[in-house]
Order: sequence, then C-alpha cells, then structure tokens
Amino acid sequence: MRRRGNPSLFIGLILTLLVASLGIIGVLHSPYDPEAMNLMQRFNGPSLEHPFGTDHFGRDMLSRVMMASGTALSSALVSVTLGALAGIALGTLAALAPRWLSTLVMRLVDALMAFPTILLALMAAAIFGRGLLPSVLAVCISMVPSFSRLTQAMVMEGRERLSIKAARAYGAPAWRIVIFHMFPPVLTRLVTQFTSAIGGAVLLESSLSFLGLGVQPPSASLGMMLSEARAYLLTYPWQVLPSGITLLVLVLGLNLLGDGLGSLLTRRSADGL
Amino acid sequence: MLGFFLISCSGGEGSGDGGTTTGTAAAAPSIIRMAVTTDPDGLDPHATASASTFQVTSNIYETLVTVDEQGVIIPDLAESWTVSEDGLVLTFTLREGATFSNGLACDAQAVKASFERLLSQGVRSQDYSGISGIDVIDERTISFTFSELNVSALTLFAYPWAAVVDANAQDLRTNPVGTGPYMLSSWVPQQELVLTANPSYTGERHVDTVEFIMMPDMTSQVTALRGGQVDIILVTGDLVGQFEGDDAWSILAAPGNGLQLMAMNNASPALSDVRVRQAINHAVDKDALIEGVWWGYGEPIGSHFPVVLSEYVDTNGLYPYNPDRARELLAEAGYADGITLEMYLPRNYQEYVNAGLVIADYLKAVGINVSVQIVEWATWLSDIYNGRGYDLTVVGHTGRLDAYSLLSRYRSSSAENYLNYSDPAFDALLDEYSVTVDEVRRTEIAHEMQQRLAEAVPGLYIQDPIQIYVTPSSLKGFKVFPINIFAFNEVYFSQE
Repeated sequence: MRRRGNPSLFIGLILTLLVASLGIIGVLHSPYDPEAMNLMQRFNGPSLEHPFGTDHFGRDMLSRVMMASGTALSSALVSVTLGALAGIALGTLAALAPRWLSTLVMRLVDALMAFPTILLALMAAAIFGRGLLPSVLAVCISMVPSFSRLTQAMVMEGRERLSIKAARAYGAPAWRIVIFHMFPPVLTRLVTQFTSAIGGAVLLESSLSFLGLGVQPPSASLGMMLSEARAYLLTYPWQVLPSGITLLVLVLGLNLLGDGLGSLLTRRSADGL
Repeated sequence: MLGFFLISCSGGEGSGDGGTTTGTAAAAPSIIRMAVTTDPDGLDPHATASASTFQVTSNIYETLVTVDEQGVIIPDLAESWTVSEDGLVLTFTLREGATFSNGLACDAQAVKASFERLLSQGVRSQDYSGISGIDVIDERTISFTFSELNVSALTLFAYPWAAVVDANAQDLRTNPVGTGPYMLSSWVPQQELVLTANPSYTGERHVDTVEFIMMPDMTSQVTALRGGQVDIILVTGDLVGQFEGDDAWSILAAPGNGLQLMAMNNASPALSDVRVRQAINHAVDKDALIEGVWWGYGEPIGSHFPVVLSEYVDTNGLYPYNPDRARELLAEAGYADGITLEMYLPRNYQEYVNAGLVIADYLKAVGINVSVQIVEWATWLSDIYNGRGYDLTVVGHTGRLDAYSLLSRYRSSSAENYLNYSDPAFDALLDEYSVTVDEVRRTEIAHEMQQRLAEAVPGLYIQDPIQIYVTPSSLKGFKVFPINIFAFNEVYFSQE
C-alpha cells in the first residue's frame, strides 16, 4: 500500500497539532493569566513579552488564544462525541427497528436537521442559560442528524451484504451482527465524518460565542475574541488577527485531516476487501 | 427706455443677488441626517421612558417650558409664567397662535387635555401626582395647582415626557400631532424616520427635513459620516482621534447630564458593611477605569451627581486607589479570606459590560472574587432593578434638572431604590430640600446629600460621561442639552 500522495492528511495533522499544542501548553503553562488586565498596556502590538500583542483590556492575547484553543478543541470533542454516539444509536435503531418506529425516528431526525443550529442554541440558552455547557449541548444536538442518517444508510446497505446474510443464516444474534459484522465497515466512514464534524463544531461554537451565547467573559473563546476585536476594526484592525488566524488554521486543519483520513481509510478498506 | 434699462439692470442685479442666495441655499443642504442606534419605541411622549425616543419627539412636540444648554428654564410653548407667593400655583401664558400640525389650535383647553392625558396614562404620571388642579383661565392662560410645595415644580414642565400633545388625536405612537417645528413624514422601522417641516410652526427653523437613520454598528456610522450619508454621529472615545485635527470635521464633546456607577446591593450581607463598600472603592483605580473603558472621555465623580448641574459639589478623592487599604478594610470587616460577589451586567450596553469586567479584575486583586453574569436588558430590569437580586451591577442614569428628583431614589422607601440604601438622616435632608424656598440653603442641602452618599458609598460612582458628537464642520447650531432633547430647528449649514 502506498502511503505517499496524501498531503491533506499531513498538512491537516500539522495544522491541527499546532493549535492543539497551543491549547495544551496553555493548560500546562500559560505565559500570563489570560484574564488579568493591564489597562496601561492596551492595544500593544506584537513584542517579545506579548508575541500576539495585547487586547483592549491589556490582556495577553497569546495566553487568551491558548485558553480559547483549548476550550474550542475540548468542547468540540465532547459535543461531537456525544452527538455522534446519540446519532449512531438512533441511526442503528432506525435501520433495524420495525418500519413504523424507523419512520418515526428518521422524521424526527429530519425535523431536527431543519432547525438552524443558531436557533437551537438560542433555545438552549433560553432554557439552560448562557455559557459553555448550553453551547456544547446545542452543538451536540446539531451533530445528531448527520450521524444518524449516515449510520442508518450504511446499516441498511450492509444488511443486504452476503456476509451478513450468512451470519444471520448461522443464527447469530442481532447485537452480535451489529457489533461484529456491520459496525467495522461503517467505522471508517464514521471516523471521517467525526473528524470533519469537529471542524464544524469548532466553527459553530465560535459563532455562538461570537453572538454572546457561548463562553462568558472574562473567559476567552475564539468567537468572543473576534467579536470583541470587531469593535476596534477601524482603529486597531490587527486585533482580529490572533483569534481569526487561529480559528482559520484550526478549522482548515481539521477539515484537511478529515479529508485525508477519509481517503486513507477508504483506500485501506478497499485494500482489505 | 433708459428707465426700463435701469429697472432691468437693477432687476438683473437683484436676480443676481437672489441667484447667489438661492445658489448657496441650494448648495447648503436642506436636510439633516443623524445616525441613531435604536428605533424609537413609538412617538407618543407620554407612553415612553426611552431617551432615544425623546430625542425624536422633542422636535415634534413642544413642552410648556424648555431648557438651554446650561439647564436654565426658558420659554417654549408658554411665552411666560408666574409662580404664586406660596409657591403652590404656576400660571403659564401660551404663545399666541400656537397650532398643532393637524391645524387645530393649541389653546389652554388643549394643554389641559394633554396634561390630563399625561396624569391618567403617562409612564411618568407619578412624578406629576403633586398636581391637584389644572385651571383654564382664558384661551391663552392656564394654571397648575400643587397640593404641597415643590420647589422644583417648574422643571417638571420642561422634561420631554411632559410634552403637549393633541389629546384627541388617535394613536400618537405612529401619528404624532404636536406643535413643534417638525412633523412625521415617514417611518420605516429599523431603517429610517423622516421628519418634515410643520407648516403651522412659526418659530426658528433652518432646515426642512430631518432624517434619523438607524445604524446599530459604530463602524458603519463612521463610514457613513465620511461618505456623506449622515451628518451627525455619536462616537466612542477611541474613534475621536481620526477626526481630530481635520478641518472638515467638528467635534462636540461635552459632559452630559448623566452618571454611571457600579451599584451595590446595600442589603446583601457583605455589602451592608460600609467597610466592604469602602474597600471596593479603594480597590478600583477610577482614572484607569475611565481611560480603559471610555478612553478618558468622562469626568470622575464621587457621588450620585452629574458635574453639569449647578448644585454639584466635588466629592472625589475620599477613597483614592489603594489596594492595601482595601485589603485592610476587608480584613477589619471579617473578610480576610475573601468574599464572592455576583455581578450582573446588561448585555446591550457594551461599555457597562467592559467597565464591569475591569472592576471585577481590580476586585480580584484585593481578594473579592466576582462571578460575572451578562444578562438581557429585560432581565436586568425585572431581576436587578425591580427584583433587587444582585450584589453588584454597572449601569448609567440619565440626569434630572434638580437634586431632588435625581437623589430621591436613595430614599429608604423609594420604589426606585434598587441599591437598598437606607439612611434616615438622608431621608430628612430630602424632605427638607423639597420644601426649602431659599436657594442658598437648598444648595447647601444638595451638597450635604452628595457628601453623605460620597462617604457611605452605596455604590462605586464612576463618572459623568462625556458625549462626543462628530459633524461636518459646515454644520452649525447643534447643541447638547442637559435633558434628552435635540433642537434640530436651530441647526443649519454655514455657507463657508
């Protein structure tokens, strides 16, 4: 099997790791307290002390970007994992259940899909208040439809495969068929979907905090930093760069990683067949 | 022939002059466009408490009296007035020929009907509950009788919510009928509101059309001003720099009649201790705060009083920035190990949010842990202002014209006393102020009240904000008043 010719995977991995390491370093050793203000040092450009400069409260932007990257990645991981688990469960249920139940579940999923995520997040904020948890929940719910549809389609398709029919003919129980025979081929597709969904989740979480629905100040998140910097677009336009570029690199990295992983895994599973 | 020549010649000169005049008049635009951030909530002055609405309605309606830039009462719809010897009866003489924009005469009977409407359904009707009788003496004379002495009664007739409306008109919210220089021409909510000259108004007016253009975003306001799409914008301190030193723009920066403070809930366990409140005042560097959040555009205050009012006394410097002293006071009060306080900030006011975050950071340095919650304005009004369920909050108050109406919210029993401040001596001063006719003594009392608040610090008094308007330098006559009104009839474009 040739491993060359997959620059997406390579570049995506590097970009993602770059931002992830920022987040991890931030947790282990942040250069400054990301919430500590210094009103005498506002809007300082990049320097040795503050490589990313300081914001409108004189807070160190590198520390804030570190904190924000950590939050963005971990909240995206959590919300996509939960959303994927729920989606996979629903999708499997829909594929294997009697027709009426399957129709009911999938129409519900369709209804969920029709909801704009921002609206969903507003609802979550209205019910649970603003903050990181409601926004994680909103992102999580918005992840359910794509995973459940994918799982349902693939399980339905798999059911018709010869190997499955054989397993069934041998009298294997349903749970065994699902876990050992249907799931592995589905897994590669799900992993791809999972990786690119994380990119989407990061973007979504940022939009929510840009609108003030996500992480609350004085904590930092990429979307909130962008929205704060936007107020000074006329006077200090570079303020949007640290958070903007980090967001760009992270989402681009995750999407490339998803693509690369996708082509790698489909090639693998094609090899395997 | 010669005569004809002369006539035609002078006629030529005359039309030449006329041509110059009309030429420049055409060159000087006959429209003023102001960028505003919020839509008015209807154009019925009795049915609103919103400052942005009054800035529009003050051009459509007139009040019996109004104020100049210094807050001195001057004639408006009433050309003169007298106060009875006991101070209980105010008699106004209306301007001759005052007419509503629908053509109906605005006589004493109409003014009476308008005030009856204000008393029965006005948002601020409580402020006018002291009026026990309104008597029409003749067509142009009307008198108001008060049940008890109120030395600031005259100012009640200057506030924009006391505007005289045609009480018989239907739905003033969308079809305003007043006697002011302008009337509503069109209104597309969230876009623009256009006023046009009211033909029945005979006073000063230079420009025929006034447009309020809704632009919530400061960046687009600045772009629109530079692009010539608007003529007046209100800017924040960080944007002033780009207009300074440029002859094309004039900047009008004046302290407004208002104040901003971090209110404390004096009934909450920790904050009921004056030492904790003093510690909080010692913990915050007010000058750095004003510089940091308002770019230095604000006058620091030490008490609940705007610097523009004549009864103002400087109470700054009682609790200077001193974190060590703050820690000592906290330790004395028994909070050496720190306290946690809840701060609520109103989302739509970014500057209050920013100020709150800065203060929270200062308080953290002396061991006060602040948990910040940013809430919607409606929530703020119901839970904080009316519900009083908070420890700290940052907010602003618009000023009034006299110390009594400004400070009466600190009366122990006041419904507006959301700080839960309670001081019998202060209540007694308020009572004395409201019945003291002697102006010197009244000013003394006003000073004493400010001093008491400055010492007891029921809140952290931050500043009297400086409002900064930017206009093209050809625009003249735009003024900032101590109450929320604009006088666009005095604005014009110079010919230079």
